[in-house]
Amino acid sequence: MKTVFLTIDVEEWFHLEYLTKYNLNKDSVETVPKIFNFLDMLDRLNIKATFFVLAEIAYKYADIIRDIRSRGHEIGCHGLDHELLHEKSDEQFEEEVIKARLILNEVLGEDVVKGYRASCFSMDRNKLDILKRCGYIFDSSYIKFVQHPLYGHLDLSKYNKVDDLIYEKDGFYEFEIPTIDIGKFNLPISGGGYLRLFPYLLIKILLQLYSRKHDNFLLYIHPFELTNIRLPFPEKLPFKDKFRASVGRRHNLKKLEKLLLKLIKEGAEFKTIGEAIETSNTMEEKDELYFSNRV
Amino acid sequence: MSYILVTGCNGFIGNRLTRALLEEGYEVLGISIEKETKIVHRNFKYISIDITDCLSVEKLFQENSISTVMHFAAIAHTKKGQKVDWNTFYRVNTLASKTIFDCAARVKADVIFASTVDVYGACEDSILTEKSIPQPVSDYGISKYLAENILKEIAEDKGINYLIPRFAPVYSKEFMKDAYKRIYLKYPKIGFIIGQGLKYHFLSVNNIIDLIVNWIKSDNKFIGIINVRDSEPIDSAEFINLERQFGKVAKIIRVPRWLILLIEFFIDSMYRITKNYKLLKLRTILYKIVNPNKYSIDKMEQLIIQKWNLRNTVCDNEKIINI
Ligand SMILES: [Zn+2]
Repeated sequence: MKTVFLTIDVEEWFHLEYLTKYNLNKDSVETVPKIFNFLDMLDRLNIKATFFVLAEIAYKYADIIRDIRSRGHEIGCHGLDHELLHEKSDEQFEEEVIKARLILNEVLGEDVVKGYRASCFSMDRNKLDILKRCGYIFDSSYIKFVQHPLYGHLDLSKYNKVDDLIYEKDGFYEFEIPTIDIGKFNLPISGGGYLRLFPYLLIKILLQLYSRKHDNFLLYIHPFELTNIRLPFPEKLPFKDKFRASVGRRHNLKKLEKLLLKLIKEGAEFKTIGEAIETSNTMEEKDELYFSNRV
Repeated sequence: MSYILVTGCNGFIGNRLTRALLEEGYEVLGISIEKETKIVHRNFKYISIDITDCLSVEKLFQENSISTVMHFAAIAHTKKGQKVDWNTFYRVNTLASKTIFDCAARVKADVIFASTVDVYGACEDSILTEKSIPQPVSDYGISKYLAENILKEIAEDKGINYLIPRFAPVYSKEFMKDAYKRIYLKYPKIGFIIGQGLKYHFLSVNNIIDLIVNWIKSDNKFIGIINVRDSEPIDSAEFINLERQFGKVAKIIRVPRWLILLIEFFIDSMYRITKNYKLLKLRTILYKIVNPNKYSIDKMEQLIIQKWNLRNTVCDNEKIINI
């Protein structure tokens, strides 16, 4: 693997899509303040990641978000709230992405937020164009996961594929969430849920298969997957959902470290999305310079 | 009007410090996570605030004129009886301290940061001086050491006065828990003595107050880190005698020093094989029991002549018993 993008959607456990319909005891357990073990691990491995922060929790965890940034990671935006984008009008979306970015920049004390990830990857083309208009430089919500009803079908026509998983149009970039084709299915192996669910050996095999066709890889995880504190699930929660939310949390941090170490050992370079865009821009500039010198 | 900000003003040391400062005629702004305070004084203003809420802390500094910050708010080993994990230690003792130091530097306030001799951790210098290189082991010690370094960096960069006292275990007349750990197996009946008794370095809360009031009054302020403990160490055998005069310690168990050394040697060998970090912690604890830390106070003694020791802190004046 050439480049790996480690991404974290900074939200609480109760933002999980399948928990929202319940009446939850939200304040009793917080998982975001348990993120420091993970941040220390990234420091140890010298990995810089991209954190998409949900703006509605940014004031509450301002100290944590600042610490993430001061450790050299990139801060992006995960929306103002966690509602799916299909449920928002374009006008509402525009208003909210502007506001969310203002909140995050205010917390950080600097204009640094350039990227966006839609809740449950529910991005569509109209909203992508709005995002660009509002001053964002990249989005990372594109997933080719056809079986899942939640995930949107983002139309990327007129975008150029500039690198594996990376698409560009007029200086705006889309970073794809990778999946792996197995028969007629594609599995989103990049997700925290799959990392928790599959045994390490299986993940290794799937990655091997994946790397035959891909140069780059992207991982997305959530704070609740990086700690094993008990989550106060509602009693009525069906077994399936309880399983989805809790499977493999106990040793996940260790498993993740093993996976990251393996990727480092194989020569993968971890980059924030912003860094990747910068490199590709400077390369482009060099190319342009080269060609203009020749003319 | 300019305030002395005391964080953790409802705490064990913060509370006494606040009262002492008010008595000296200072205006004090006290903050703590609790809703209310018992301190009432015309020169005292109280604000309930969670120091991890960095935006509120910044607002506090914008809305009040603060000339000195005395940062005593911290999380020790348990919180409401629950064990504290590293994430919480780091967020409260390190990150929140960083916010407070940044704010103090912005308004050019002097800073006193209450640190601890726990930062020395596994450092095995026979006498621990401020020049010894800390090797904190406990989460508490690590979180405090990180905050010390942040303060040093900020203060040196922004040119503000700062004092980092590293306190030995603190006792007061009402709070003897840490001291009792060295002499009681089961309070108040069963005490223990290792060998012929060992000398422990402790710190009377009254000496802390004197030191800080002295520092704040000084025109030529000492800047940097200092060990702070009572000039007189506490001898565990003498301490038990003192307790017996209050009718406590019905039974004494004598533990030979070699027994603990043997156990320590065994655990050390296990650690070398397994590299299990928990064994290292246990080994360090045992090592410290038979080789109590000795903290140099050469620096401290240049700053203050101490008035307080175990006897005059614990006993009422008229009842001082000579032992
Ligand atoms: Zn999300």
